[in-house]
Amino acid sequence: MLPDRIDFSPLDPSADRLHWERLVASVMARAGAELSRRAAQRTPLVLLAWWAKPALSAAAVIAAIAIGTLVFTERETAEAERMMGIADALEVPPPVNAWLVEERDPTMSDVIMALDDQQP
Amino acid sequence: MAATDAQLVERARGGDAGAFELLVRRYLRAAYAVALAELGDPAEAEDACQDALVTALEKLEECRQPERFARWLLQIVRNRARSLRRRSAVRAANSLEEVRGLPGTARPDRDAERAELRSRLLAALATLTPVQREVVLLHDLEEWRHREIAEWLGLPEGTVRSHLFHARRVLRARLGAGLLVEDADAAGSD
Repeated sequence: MLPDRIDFSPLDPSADRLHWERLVASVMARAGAELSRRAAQRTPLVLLAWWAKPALSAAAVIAAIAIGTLVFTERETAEAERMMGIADALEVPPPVNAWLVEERDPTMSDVIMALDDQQP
Repeated sequence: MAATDAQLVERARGGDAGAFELLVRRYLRAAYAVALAELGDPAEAEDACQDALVTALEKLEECRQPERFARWLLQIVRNRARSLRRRSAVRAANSLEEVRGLPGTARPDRDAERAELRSRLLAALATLTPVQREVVLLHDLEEWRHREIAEWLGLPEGTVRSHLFHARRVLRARLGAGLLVEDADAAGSD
């Protein structure tokens, strides 16, 4: 069994209310400059900049994806238009032109339909 | 509901003086107990606490587990107290036997009695080992539980109980049974 608790109240800084409050006030006074510095760092503009960082990162990623998609689509469209231009110059019939663009061999029904279209 | 340590630390990081003051009020006594155990002098212990609290505020970003702010703070307090003790080794050794008045408590009758008690307590504390001092001060002054002290000191709970037992026994022997009986009975035991 433990011996009785020792009464340390003569050493307790909070036993004297006035002294305790002075002690707390002293700490707060010494901490004042650092607290002010920290508060100044959290101005609305700085907070906005802080929040803007992840938003900017996300925007950059979205922009990169969008630019990549645009370039890819543009390239495919240009290729198709180039193919159409050559076909027009050679006066290739439209159905054949379509087979060329689609890079496929015509089926029997394609040929029959093309011949039917050529009929006056 | 009272704000958690983690919430107060986060607010203090943003310069919220009210949040920092709550942390100060919550842990100043524990910090004082740790510093007093190291230094043995109330005034120096208070100085160490003030330095440590300001340092803690300046380094608040280094507190990686804000929910364990107390442990982190007390480590700073202990380091600061040890640093102070090294700087004034001779003075600190003598101070345990000194009678020092607390500033701002100039009430001669009552203070004379308290000064006497304080002097005897400090002299008795000086006979303990540092870890015994820390255990008995955290338990009997700051009212921490055995488990909390064990966690803080990194000791088994049984060892903490043992330190407390021996510390109280030594203090009782030094202080005399009659000195603090009334207050001790009122405070009870854990």
